[in-house]
Amino acid sequence: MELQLGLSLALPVHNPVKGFDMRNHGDGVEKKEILVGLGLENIKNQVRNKRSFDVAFDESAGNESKMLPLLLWSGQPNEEGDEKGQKRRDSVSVITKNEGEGNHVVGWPPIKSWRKKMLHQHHGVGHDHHHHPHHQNQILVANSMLVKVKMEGVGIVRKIDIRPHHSYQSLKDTLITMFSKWKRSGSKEGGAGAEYILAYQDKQGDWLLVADVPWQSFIKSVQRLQILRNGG
Amino acid sequence: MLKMANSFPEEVLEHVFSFIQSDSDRNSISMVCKSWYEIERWCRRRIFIGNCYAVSPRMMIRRFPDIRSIELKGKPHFADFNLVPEGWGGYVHPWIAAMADAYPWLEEIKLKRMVVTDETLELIAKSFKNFNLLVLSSCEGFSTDGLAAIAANCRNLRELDLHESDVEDLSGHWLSHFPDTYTSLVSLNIACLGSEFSFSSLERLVGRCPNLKSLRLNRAVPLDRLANLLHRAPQLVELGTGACSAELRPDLFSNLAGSLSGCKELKSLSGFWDVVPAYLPAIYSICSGLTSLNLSYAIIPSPDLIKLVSQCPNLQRLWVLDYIEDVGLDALAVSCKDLRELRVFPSDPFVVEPNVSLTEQGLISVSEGCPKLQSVLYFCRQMSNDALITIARNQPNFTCFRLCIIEPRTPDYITLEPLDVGFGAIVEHCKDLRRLSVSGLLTDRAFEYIGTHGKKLEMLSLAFAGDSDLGLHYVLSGCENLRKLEIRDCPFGDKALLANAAKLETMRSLWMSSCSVSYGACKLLGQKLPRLNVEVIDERGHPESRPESCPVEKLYIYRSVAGPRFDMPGFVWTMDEDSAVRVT
Repeated sequence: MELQLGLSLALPVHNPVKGFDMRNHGDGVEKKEILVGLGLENIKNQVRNKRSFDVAFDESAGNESKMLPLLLWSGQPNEEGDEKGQKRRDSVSVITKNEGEGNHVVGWPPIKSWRKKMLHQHHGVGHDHHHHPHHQNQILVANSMLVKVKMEGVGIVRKIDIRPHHSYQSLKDTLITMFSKWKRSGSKEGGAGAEYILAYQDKQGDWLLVADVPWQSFIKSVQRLQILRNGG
Repeated sequence: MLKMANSFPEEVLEHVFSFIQSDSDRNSISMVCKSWYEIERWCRRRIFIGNCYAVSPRMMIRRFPDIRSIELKGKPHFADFNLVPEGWGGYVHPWIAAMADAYPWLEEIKLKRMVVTDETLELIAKSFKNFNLLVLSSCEGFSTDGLAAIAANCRNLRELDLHESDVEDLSGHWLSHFPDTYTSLVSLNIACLGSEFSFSSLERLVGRCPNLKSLRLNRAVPLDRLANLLHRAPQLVELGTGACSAELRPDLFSNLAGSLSGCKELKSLSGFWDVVPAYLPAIYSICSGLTSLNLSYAIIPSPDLIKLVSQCPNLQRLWVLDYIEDVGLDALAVSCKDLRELRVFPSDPFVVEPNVSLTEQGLISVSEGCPKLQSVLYFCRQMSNDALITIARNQPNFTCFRLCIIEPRTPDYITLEPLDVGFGAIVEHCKDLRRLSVSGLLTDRAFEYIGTHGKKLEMLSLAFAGDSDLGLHYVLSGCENLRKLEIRDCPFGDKALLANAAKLETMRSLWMSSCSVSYGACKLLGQKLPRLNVEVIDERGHPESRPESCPVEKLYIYRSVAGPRFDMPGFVWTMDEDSAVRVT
């Protein structure tokens, strides 16, 4: 696909699986020693034989391929043991602290930095509602108002948009639908709502029963919701 | 046959070659014989260079004297995830400067992951008389001043695409630099810009360009402006909206729905920043014509997404946040039988507890329900071998399979086994797989499967996987068509790399970061393989200051006919003859 390849370089025929060397070069010899032994000899040749890049460009035969691989595969990977590799890996891994993202490995999960910026940067211009990143449990995105909902005994925390609801009843109906698959087996269809208690956390961090204040006050203070089993 | 071909006059061959568009076919033609090489090079008009350091502008110009369209890529792919330190390189200026002299008739420039300055944009604006296409994809280093130069001077500009570029946004005024006589715009993508611009100049620009087909706006364009713009451009095929966050007003809604329904040609929608789901029904009237929908910046709850995708029977591509959940993907599988590409992005990737109910089940549903699915990017938090085997059996047509299980080294959540067998099934069943990203707990066995079955694999991304050099050895010795390999945080080291050194010359590039490759091995590779540039990236200081056996932070190896580059910053070292001399 690229212009330079295939036009100028005759590719060395690479057939490593068949050439898999089972002579066990590494047996009883430190890997490092093989490297150094091979390395110095070849380096000297290399300095003498190194061709200019223009020559390399015009020449079609890849004579380097004869002396490859640089190290014969012994079929015994990591004789020195995997533990060393493990330790190395852990020591090299780059951990960084990014503002707002806590401790995590740089570049993981692999989400483009541009996407992260776009998704988490909230544009103030022309908006009536602003995002409050410091409110961990409540995400206000323009006209939607997402609140986390946890159901007792269910591993997954869901988010629900409070904004489209105008009464406790519609909120409860939505929650029943949302969590119906985790509904305790054996419960009767009609009475599903009665088996559970809905609690919410207000801005002060206190847990209160849902429906004990008017709806408008509730939506102003709710931070997160929890569905508890009635009577355990 | 060859004799006959040789007897053709050059003009005839040149005419025949002009019908051959594929880069690889043109490459093959030029290898037939000396005369074909000569004829082909004189009539080559388009060029793709996958790595700007693989060849020099001088060499390109010497061989191809009359290029009209160039596509050039800079930084390694992992730069997207902040793994390439700032200042690494990928500067386009030397290319533009050389082409300004050599190719006065250059018409198209497409750049990806390159550093572009305002000076470069000014040079482009004044050097190429027929210039008509500029795509800057994930580029950086320029400001809206440079864009103003393009707008003011490129009278024939058809396409300006700033796809995900990082632009210094000085003001929105640049847009008014398009002259009043300018009418040739076909495609404009300014979605990445932050600032507001003069809506009246945007409206006038849109109004006077009758061929405008694609318009992707930025977040600063409010919803009430969108309807006006659409009234002026009913011929649009592709639309990226601005923010859709206005208070729900019936007049605004009906205005928007009305103007959208006037755009009969619309096939692709994106944008929807800060969307209020109540506005989504405004697009229902055009949904049946949609083939592409990018909702990956729109926070839309699952029930609204379900209603939306159910209206889109012809959808071929969907990008969406994980708010779609398994139920939404079930609905997608039922409604969208023509789906080819699906990307599901995480809404909250940095928290441990899942915030949505999106599991392997959603992907299984889509693989069952959408027979044409070819390409998947899927972020989730749990996976099983059984699920992967089912997906592979359902969908042997995959050419691109990128699965990201967010927590590194996550095993099969049912059996707690590694996901080796699951990914093995993917590579075994999907014979045409070109691109693969793996994640979760994987041992060397997974790489044995990949090496054995991944015959057509061209790009492979590995992270937090494998347990020894054997893993990398399987990949390098097996995947015959591998062009790009990127690895991070895997215990792969010198042995696998050196044993397969020749393989690297057949590939475009290899990236390894936080692996176990020693500085000594990097030096050896650089010395032994003169056609490779072996670059060590280490922000801790010169690698010579540490023992040779010490693993390097990052290693980027690529083949090049241009030799070592000269624009390296202080934290990049190239392994060449000089380091050999130091050793002897």
